[in-house]
Amino acid sequence: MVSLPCSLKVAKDNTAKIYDRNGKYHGKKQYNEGTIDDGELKFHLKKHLNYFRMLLNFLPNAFQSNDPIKMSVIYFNLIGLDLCKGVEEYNNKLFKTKKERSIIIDFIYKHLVESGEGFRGSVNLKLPLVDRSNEMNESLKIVGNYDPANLSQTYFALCILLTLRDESMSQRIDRFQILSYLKRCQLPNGSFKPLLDIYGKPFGENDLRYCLIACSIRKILQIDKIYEIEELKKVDINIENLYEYVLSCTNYEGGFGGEPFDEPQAGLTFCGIAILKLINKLDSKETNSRINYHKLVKWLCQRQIWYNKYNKQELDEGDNGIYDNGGFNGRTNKASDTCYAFWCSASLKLLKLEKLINVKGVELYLLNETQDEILGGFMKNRKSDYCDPLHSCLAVAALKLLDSEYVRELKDIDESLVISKDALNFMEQLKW
Amino acid sequence: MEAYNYTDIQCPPPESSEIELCRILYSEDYLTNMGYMRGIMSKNEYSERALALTEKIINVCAAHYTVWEYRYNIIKDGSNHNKIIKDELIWSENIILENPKNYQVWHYRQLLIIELVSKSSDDYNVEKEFELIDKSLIEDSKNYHSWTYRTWLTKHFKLYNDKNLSFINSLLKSDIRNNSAWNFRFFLLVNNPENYIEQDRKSIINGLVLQKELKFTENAIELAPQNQSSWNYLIGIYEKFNLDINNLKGLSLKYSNFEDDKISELEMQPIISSVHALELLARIYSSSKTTVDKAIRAYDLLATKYDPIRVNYWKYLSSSLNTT
Repeated sequence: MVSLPCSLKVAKDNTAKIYDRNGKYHGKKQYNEGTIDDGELKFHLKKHLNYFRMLLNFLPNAFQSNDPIKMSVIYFNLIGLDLCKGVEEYNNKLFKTKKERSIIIDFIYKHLVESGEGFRGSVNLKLPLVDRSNEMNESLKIVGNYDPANLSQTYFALCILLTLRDESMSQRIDRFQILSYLKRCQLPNGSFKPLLDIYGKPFGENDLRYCLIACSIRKILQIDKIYEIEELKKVDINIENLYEYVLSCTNYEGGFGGEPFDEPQAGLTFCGIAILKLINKLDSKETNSRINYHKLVKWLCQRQIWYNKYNKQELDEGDNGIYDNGGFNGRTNKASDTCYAFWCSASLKLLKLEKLINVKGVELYLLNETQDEILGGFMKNRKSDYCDPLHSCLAVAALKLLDSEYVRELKDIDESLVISKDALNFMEQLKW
Repeated sequence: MEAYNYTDIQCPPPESSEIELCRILYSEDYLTNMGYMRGIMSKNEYSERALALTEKIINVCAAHYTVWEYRYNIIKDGSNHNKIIKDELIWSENIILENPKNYQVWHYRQLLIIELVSKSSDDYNVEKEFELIDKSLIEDSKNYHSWTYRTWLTKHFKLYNDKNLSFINSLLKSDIRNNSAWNFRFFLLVNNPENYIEQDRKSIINGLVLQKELKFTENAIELAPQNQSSWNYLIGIYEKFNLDINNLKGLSLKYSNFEDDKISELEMQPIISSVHALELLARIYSSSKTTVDKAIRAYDLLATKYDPIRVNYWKYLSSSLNTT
């Protein structure tokens, strides 16, 4: 029996809520008056280690559709493994020799595009070099090709190299090439697109995700440290425009949307707050006067779900189930989802208010509802059929961030770059 | 689909590595098609067979940005431009309805519409796009991409019209908790970046539409007092127009029964009908020294009884009152 954050009063006829809308039975648990009988909560560390290791070695065909963004798949598995203290072992045991470790690191560099402007997501995107000097491309103003660096894949690759403690990073990466690419991906309104098209123009959707990714890359490359040098300011991204864009994405409910006027969403709200942190504007006087922090904090706290007898109408008429209890949704009136436990916790941690979260509720939701106790890993929600790397990594990260008693032995996490503190320390001692 | 021949396209296989991370079990088909794709893209070949190949790749991995870019360049390059783009609209509609959560296809659609409208001499009616958005919302009425696209379309073509509003009304009628619809309503009527029908904008400020919106929201609260969306909307309007939040005291009392806290805890019938009302009441009480005690009592009730998952949050608000 687990002591709950509060008593759960569910009328007996309400137990039908354990079935999902397709009529599938979801419970080995009995929802009784007052308590949930779950047995002991347990974080299955060894199983999660195995899950991350297994996927790092080999992915089934179902992952084929993720090929263009494979770097992100590697990232979530590797960060998850690192937080579970598996990377050292991975470095020392699985690859017994230094040579094998360097093969892995070389494998990541195979994704670096020829210009050095960043990384592609998969070697399957790499185009053969074609000599076009005789063609009419000049008149068409073609300056690039269909194999450009992609901002998100660049961020993931850099995090992977930090996590693998790649000492050669500062020699093999030309950070000013990457910075110059970032600058060209920025739009006049301050936001970023993920890549440049063949004409050298930003291409793809622009929203807060790519703004955060650009800031994170800039942070990893330690551009902020040399910002005092006047000449370098000219090659840096436009921080002022970015700042204005971020503020324009706040919304009447209190959170951030992806673009101005969009509905606030917890992942994008994390992006907004983390950007402000990375550009040193989170505590600034100006931001304090322009952002309603009170509303932002309220909105973040409102994301945690708990049904009891006082909001029974919401349970009866809404889309959610009693099994959402303790978890976080990403938007008002949506259902719980594993990853929002992380995005909300990390947001509040950046605001130094993570203590406002009900950790017992989070533990109950993650460990009881979305943890795979047999194969390891975490699912998106209890309606999912299987675990995935993103939700597995972020569930582990959320528990650690909230200092859950079940994950005390895990590594600390840096909530703005979403890498382990160890990897962050490695980053900070790199000499460029 | 017509079968095209690609065997003349040369593309060396991707570099392999002795050890890889996350080695995917690719299908033979996928590797072959990706090989052709790399070969044909590196030549910048704009042809029908190239177009057919992009479709094959998009069907198996829609997250491939440059394949979308390549496809777009082929379409733009073609003669009989408008017809091709209109065919492409039909094609991409199917992709959208099959993958409504894919970022790339919605962005692609946006590029097509901009291209069509900028080059087209005929009068393409962009409001047709609403039909696609409405269809995409049937399966998931809160699909983020659909709403982002609706916002873009409305802003870009200044479609702040009644058609948009009546759609929102019908969505809210079928689900009063659809926060995406509430959010769009706020964008359309309250934020109104382009001054939605100048006359109405003025009348909002004059209070006519404003009163209508307040009434609409109060009715929504009556239907579902615990619905977070309608309370957030209501407070959003008050803040936007700098209205005095104390005017909501009557409404919040109606749904919190705070002053009449007599009903026994054992009774299943809740003694409050909305935590949001009680929270708002606490906020109103906390603004005056004479009622701070009542605010603290309300936060205490929220923490210990009505909304205990947020116990730390309610205590945090309460303690900030104690210190000031």
